[in-house]
Amino acid sequence: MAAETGLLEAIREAGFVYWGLFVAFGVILAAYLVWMRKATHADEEERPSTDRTGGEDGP
Amino acid sequence: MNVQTLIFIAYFALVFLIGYFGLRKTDDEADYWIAGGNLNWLIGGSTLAATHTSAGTFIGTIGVIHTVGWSFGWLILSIPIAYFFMAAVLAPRFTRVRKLTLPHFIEGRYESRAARAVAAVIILIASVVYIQAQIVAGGLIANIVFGMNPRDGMILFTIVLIAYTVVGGMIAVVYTDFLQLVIMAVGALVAVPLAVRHLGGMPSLLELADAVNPVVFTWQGLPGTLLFTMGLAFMLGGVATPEKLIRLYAMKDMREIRKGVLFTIVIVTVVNLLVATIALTSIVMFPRLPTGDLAMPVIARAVLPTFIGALMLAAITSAMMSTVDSLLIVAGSALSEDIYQNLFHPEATHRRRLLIARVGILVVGCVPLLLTLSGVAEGRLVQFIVLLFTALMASSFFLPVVGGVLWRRANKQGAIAAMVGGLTVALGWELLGPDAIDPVLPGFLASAALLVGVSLLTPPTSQETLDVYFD
Repeated sequence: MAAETGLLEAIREAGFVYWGLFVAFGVILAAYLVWMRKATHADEEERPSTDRTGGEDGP
Repeated sequence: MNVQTLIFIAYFALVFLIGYFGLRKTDDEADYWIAGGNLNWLIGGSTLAATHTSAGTFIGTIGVIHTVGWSFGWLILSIPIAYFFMAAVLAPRFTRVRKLTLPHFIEGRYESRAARAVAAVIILIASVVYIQAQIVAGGLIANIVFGMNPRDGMILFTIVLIAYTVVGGMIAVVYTDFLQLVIMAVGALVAVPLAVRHLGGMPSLLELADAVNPVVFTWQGLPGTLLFTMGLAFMLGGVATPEKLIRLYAMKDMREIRKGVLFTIVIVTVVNLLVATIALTSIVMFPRLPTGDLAMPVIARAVLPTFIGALMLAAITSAMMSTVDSLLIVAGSALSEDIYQNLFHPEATHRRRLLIARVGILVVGCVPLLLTLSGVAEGRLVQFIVLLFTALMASSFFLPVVGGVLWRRANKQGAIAAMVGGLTVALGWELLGPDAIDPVLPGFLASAALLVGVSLLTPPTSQETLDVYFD
């Protein structure tokens, strides 16, 4: 409990300059994960349609 | 023989073993330059992360935070932003046609062997600057670990590096990178809690750092313009440096690239945040070092238990070696593929080109050593030498590469003008301009103006080539 209070106190004192960096990294990482999921999903949707085209044009 | 020396000897032996493995696995040039172009996300992401993490991280970042405070730590955010851009915007277009080198891509996109040769020459110039920073740091480490004279340490460090890179090529480099990344991550993960605990935990560390240096958690350590333009240099350079771009060719496909880049973002950013935290401990424990660059080696030696301290020093050495070996590969390929074969001997055999590459790596590795030994860049903080390299690369390559895949009208005249103009302005600013603005800003602006202006005044690239890079 004392350690937690000490940590909160330190956050207040060090302020945005110290902790803001960690928060900002978390936001960028979350954005990357969302984009990656979308891009992978788009890949999966594209793949069957390519296969179909190949099937129609093939011998 | 003490624990530290034993760990280093074991580490060097393992690196040489991997070099020999690389030699056995290398059948052709694709193996030598891009490890066959078939890497999965773990090995691909590891080699990208290890290449990114250099002496700039373990010596430089700590040195600058020790000197100017935590505000410099905010530049760490340039890492995830740059790699996000690389994976989402650049990689899908850049990897449509796989090449062996960045100048080879420039030739393909701009239909110009001259543009390729210009790119190769710029890579050679900038590589010398970057390798110099790592060699300086190598001398510091050898002095701490073996008690050697830093000059002898620099020579030893260069010999080890050149030996395994010349022998094993990219296959040796990616697998040593993997080993080196593991050592770096373990070293940082173990060392930080120990160093922080030494000062009574995180709250106490923040309090003490603030008490020792009241500027540490403010924005006053560096001029705002310099901080912003340095961030720009790291961001643009993070995307456009050839040793990183070539790793996109080394990975199997976009799916592996996306996962590999995620791995890189997490590992590199976390290692940097840990390292920055160690910098705070150095401010408290060693506030008056002769140079900030000594902060990390001193902490490893004086604060951490012997084994962990040795591991940390091995991690710093790994960071330096994994970056220089990648640079040597890029510089060697620039000499043999992009200059020798492209300009002088298009019919040169595969064996001949590999021989030239190996001699090239030897030469490119020795020039920065000779410059450093003769006193060039003496006394500069390692991170500022790294930053100069990043600024030169960003000013030369960011726009020709990114513009090349996003703007159809970009052509060979524009690309050559942008590369040469960007490099010249950045170098000129470094020598003559005010210190409050990093050279990347004028270099980048000059490169942008030249790419757009010259491209619009000269004929466009052929439709056939554009169809390859644009939908």
